[in-house]
Amino acid sequence: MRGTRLRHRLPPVVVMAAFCALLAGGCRRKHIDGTVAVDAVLSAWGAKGFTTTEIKSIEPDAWSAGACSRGPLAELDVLMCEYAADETLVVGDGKIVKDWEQDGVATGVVVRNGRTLLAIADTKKIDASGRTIMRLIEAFRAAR
Amino acid sequence: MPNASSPPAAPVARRLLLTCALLSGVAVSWDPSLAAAAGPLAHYAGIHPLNPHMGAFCVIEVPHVHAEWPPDIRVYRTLPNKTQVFVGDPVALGYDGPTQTYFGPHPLVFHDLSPAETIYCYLRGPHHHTQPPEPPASFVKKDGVNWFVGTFPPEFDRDYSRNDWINEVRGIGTYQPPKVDIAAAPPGYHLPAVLDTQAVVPVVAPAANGGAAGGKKSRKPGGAVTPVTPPPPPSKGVGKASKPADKVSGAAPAGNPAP
Repeated sequence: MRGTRLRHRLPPVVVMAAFCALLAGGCRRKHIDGTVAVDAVLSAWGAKGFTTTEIKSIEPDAWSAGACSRGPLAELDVLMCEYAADETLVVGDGKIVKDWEQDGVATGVVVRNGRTLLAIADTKKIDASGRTIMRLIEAFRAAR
Repeated sequence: MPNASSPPAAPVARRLLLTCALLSGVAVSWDPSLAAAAGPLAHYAGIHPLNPHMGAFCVIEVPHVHAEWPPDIRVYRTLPNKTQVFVGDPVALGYDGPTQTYFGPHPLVFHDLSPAETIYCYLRGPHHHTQPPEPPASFVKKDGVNWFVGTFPPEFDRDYSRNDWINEVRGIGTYQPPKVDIAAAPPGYHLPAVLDTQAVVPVVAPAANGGAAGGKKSRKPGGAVTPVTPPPPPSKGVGKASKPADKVSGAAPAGNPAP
């Protein structure tokens, strides 16, 4: 007797929607409870006129974090990480500056909002006065 | 005897090395990311003038790092952890953001440093800072000027001689300090006692005819003396310690009393 094979086939439209969502980075970012969400910060920056679509989720282990996102923004390099504990946040903070010492940076700043860390690096001397960096920091600090 | 048909190896090797060196130099100069060279970074506590202190300012108000170290450490205080704290008059060096006006030395608090630091400003006359007066109870605000009426601790006197050189720094361009003098001070204001102990020497004007017979040494009327500012101490802290040339002529020294 010929065995029956159940064939499960997703409708093409569902496949396409999932694919498009993945492409757009629309997968829900991992978030550590009790921290300021990266998405909230990105929304705040978007409201200030910054284009944040290039900031993507990345593997957080290198910064001892629970979740990290990174990408270019206004020709600056932006890294945001959420931490479950203060101890690991301190480790991540130190690693960021150590990496800058090794790789070089014209301007670098690391700030915290609770257990969410924001690191901004200007490697091209695009923002010598730091005005753009300060706008990002102010919005980051105000995010909840 | 060398084989005349084959070129000598040494010149070829030299040409190869030279070519590689040239190509490396080109690669380094073309790579924009190498504009920020690797190496020890200068840590700054907050806002500060950008090299070469000709008007450009970094307005990052929180601790941050730069590849460039301060060119003139007279306007900085270097903490034990090598953080550079700008303690000069920001307006004198090009800052155009909101500031507070002060007269004379006073404490300056930097909350973003860990732990929070209180540093003393040694500017003797009217000047600006971005920080509000702290602690508020130790200041009197009169006609928009903050006057420190608190007590200076022993460390203020102890550190005076190596920080007084900030008064030599001139503002850029047509900077003029706030038009305030000590006559406008509120009751209870006094300059720190250490400022009264400057060395004084008689100033003798040179003889008109080089000391020939009949010439007299002239003195200022009433035998007045002119205070002499002690020379600046040797450079300290990190970074370049070069004293910049005076800025555009006519600019008033930052922090000196208005004429």
